[in-house]
Amino acid sequence: MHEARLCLSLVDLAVAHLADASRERIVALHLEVGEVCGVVPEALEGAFPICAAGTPAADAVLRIERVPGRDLRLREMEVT
Amino acid sequence: MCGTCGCGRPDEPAVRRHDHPGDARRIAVERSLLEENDRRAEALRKRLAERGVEAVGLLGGPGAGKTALLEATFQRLGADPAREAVVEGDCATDLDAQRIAAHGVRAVQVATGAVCHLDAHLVEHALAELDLAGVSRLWIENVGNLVCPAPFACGESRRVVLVSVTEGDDKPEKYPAMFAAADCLVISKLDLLPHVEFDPERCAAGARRAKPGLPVLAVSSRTGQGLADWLAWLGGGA
Repeated sequence: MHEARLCLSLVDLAVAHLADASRERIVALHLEVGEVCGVVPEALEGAFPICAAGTPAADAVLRIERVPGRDLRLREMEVT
Repeated sequence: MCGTCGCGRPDEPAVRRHDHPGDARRIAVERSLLEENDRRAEALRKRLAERGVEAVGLLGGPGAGKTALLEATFQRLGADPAREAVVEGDCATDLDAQRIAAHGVRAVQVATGAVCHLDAHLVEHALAELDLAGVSRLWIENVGNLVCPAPFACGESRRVVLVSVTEGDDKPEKYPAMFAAADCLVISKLDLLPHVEFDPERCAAGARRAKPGLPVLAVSSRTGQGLADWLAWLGGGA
């Protein structure tokens, strides 16, 4: 369930960048999830809709790429 | 034509991405989801270091022997209780803090409720309740869990992960993230080794696949076996 905490960080980070770009809605989030970062992609996907509800990221699609190492990173996002 | 996406607009070599009317726009972010916790943890580690306090994280599954190792460290090895302090993380109860306090060591319990790990913010709050005067080592015993605490730094300079012989020698292979983030593996409950199928070499090899060169110790908190090596490692510093 620690993925829920990380999803909240993800939504905060994404919404802050959305505001910086003067856009309204987040369409997709591209994440890099390290193989040994201690995070399960499926659990992130499960927690995301709950954490993003009511935010401009509510309808965003998560695109998760597994990478070596311990990183857990929001690489880029698509906004409209 | 734009060489990046082939959209027909002139090349804009200085700009990797640009708007296409009606399209979603891509924004490069390149930020870690753990950065807020990492920032808090690093500030905490620095604040403790300035006061001459080293924080040591203790991690492992429920019942791995984390609290027992602390008790053995305080009890058998004549550590000065006034120089040690403990933050105890559990989902409920202050049973572990009581065990620690019985050794004359200051302890504060963090009852996390349903939360499965400590993080730097929780430890900051716990430290507000803990008098660190005269303390040189702060133990941060995480919630018993071999998965969730792995990504969350708590201000510790070194992380010790325990695996008891009753848990099985395959744990590092099954839960590599925890071992990748460790500075020492302690195989615990060594007195029970004759009664279980546990290969310490396999356990050590699994952990070192996750973290090459990881120091591995084997102890029994009950009999005291291996505790001298443990203390030597502990005294070695970060």
